[in-house]
Amino acid sequence: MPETIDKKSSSVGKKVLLKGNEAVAEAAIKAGCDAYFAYPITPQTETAEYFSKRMVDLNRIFIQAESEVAAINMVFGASAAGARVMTSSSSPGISLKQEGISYIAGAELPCVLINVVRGGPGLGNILPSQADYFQTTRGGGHGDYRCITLVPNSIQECYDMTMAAFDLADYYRMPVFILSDGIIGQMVEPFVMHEYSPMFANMPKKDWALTGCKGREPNVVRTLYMSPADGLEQLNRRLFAKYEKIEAEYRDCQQISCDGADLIIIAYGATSRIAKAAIKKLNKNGKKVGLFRPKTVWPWPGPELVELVKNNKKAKFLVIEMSMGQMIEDVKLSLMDVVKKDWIYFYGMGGGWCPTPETICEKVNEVLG
Amino acid sequence: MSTEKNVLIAGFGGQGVVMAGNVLAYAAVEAGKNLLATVSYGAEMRGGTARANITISDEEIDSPIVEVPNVAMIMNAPSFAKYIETIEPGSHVIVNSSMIDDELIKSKDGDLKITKVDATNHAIKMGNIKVANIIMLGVLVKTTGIIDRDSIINGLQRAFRKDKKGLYYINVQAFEIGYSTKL
Repeated sequence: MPETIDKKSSSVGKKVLLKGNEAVAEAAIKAGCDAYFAYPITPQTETAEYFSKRMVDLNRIFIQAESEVAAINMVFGASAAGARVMTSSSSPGISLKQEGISYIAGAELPCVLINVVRGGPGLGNILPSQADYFQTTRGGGHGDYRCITLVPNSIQECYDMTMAAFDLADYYRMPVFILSDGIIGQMVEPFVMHEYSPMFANMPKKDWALTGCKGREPNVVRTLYMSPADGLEQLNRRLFAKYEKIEAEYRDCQQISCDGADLIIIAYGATSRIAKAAIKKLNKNGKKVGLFRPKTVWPWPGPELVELVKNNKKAKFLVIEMSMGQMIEDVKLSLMDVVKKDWIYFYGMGGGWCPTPETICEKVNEVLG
Repeated sequence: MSTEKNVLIAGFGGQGVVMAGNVLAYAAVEAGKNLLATVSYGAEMRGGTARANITISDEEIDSPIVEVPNVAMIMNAPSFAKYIETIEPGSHVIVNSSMIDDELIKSKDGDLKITKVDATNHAIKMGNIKVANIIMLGVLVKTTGIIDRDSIINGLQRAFRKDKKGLYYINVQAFEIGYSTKL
């Protein structure tokens, strides 16, 4: 679509219309993204298209790289130089970027990554999918690392979460993913475009950045630690101490009508929206069905899920994903000691189609009998 | 839920399917309504098929998946053939009779409330074939009352900035012709 957002920010505070793919770009620009590097791929190309216009107006850097691998290495370099940087792609393109993401994680550099997930494996198709859950929440590239992963289910959240992603990346010095999909990226709904304000009162200075070492000791950004004494063990222990801290500090989820529910649907992103429509219909028909929606999938809001069970011991669970079942493994790990195994049901699809409120209602009725 | 309107706009790429959707979406924002819009994406091209779905409601819109449109605007024969049977019975359907054969329309009109508009021919008479979409949108708005007229004019202003070589003015004119159904 994109609505014309001009330099004078006349649209701030007003309800504007953008696609999810455009809202993430505008949020990044407002959050001070200095440079964006990417390679086109459906269904995320609107992000690059949007940046290509706005970054030129603002005299910032936009590069359509020659490949995904080039784009992520540009992100690596620009981040090492202290810039706020972002790239975006869709599933096959994110796979190509994984080597670079691993390097960025290993070098403890901040960056924002957007994955508008499409069907896979391989080139799959260009339809919405959620089959990159494992890849995103388990690191994705080689080595021991994690990426904070935020999952929007509205255009407002695409905008807000992208702003937050830049702050989280800088604060924790690590890559942060926005896990979107072909529905969220392509859909349009009104949202309020507020100005950026940092989420942390004291954002750390980037005193590690490679800015030219005249008058100071050189900084080193590296991912190679050849000898045992060189510190790889210490790096990984430091990374994991950080990850533990994030798991404690930054889990996020939403719960809708879970109190006293006979069945709780667990879904994220676009699927959670479709599930919500189904739940409203089911509630109207007297069925007690709730929704547990992770807003971060790493860190995983497992403790919140366990807490939910403590307050509602009779609830069964239905995990809905546009995949053959990935998040359900986290659900099972969280609930293994508190919920009977056969009380966790699954409804998923292999990338060829999306669930609808009607098919979800059918599945719920089947489970509740 | 009862106030929810699921509008389907379909035609071939280049007929302004997405633009008509944009105008309706902007108008809905101007009218203070909730909306959610999706357009077909992928290997789209001028001459290929294009589709826009705009859900407009006074209540919160949850599902981004529209299965059964209850208002439709169809701009060419292949889209008519493809979508006509997916529309909820009893719905208003505005069809572009310049490009859809009368026989075809008659064969499928069933329980639908079909309004025929000679939109493309009229747009040509106006000197710009591209405004056929907004002529049809004018008829759609008049027939269904989905959005008030002023909000559409504001929506047109947001979609066609006034500096765009008079496109705003000719589109307002096209809308008014459809709205007054002086065809």
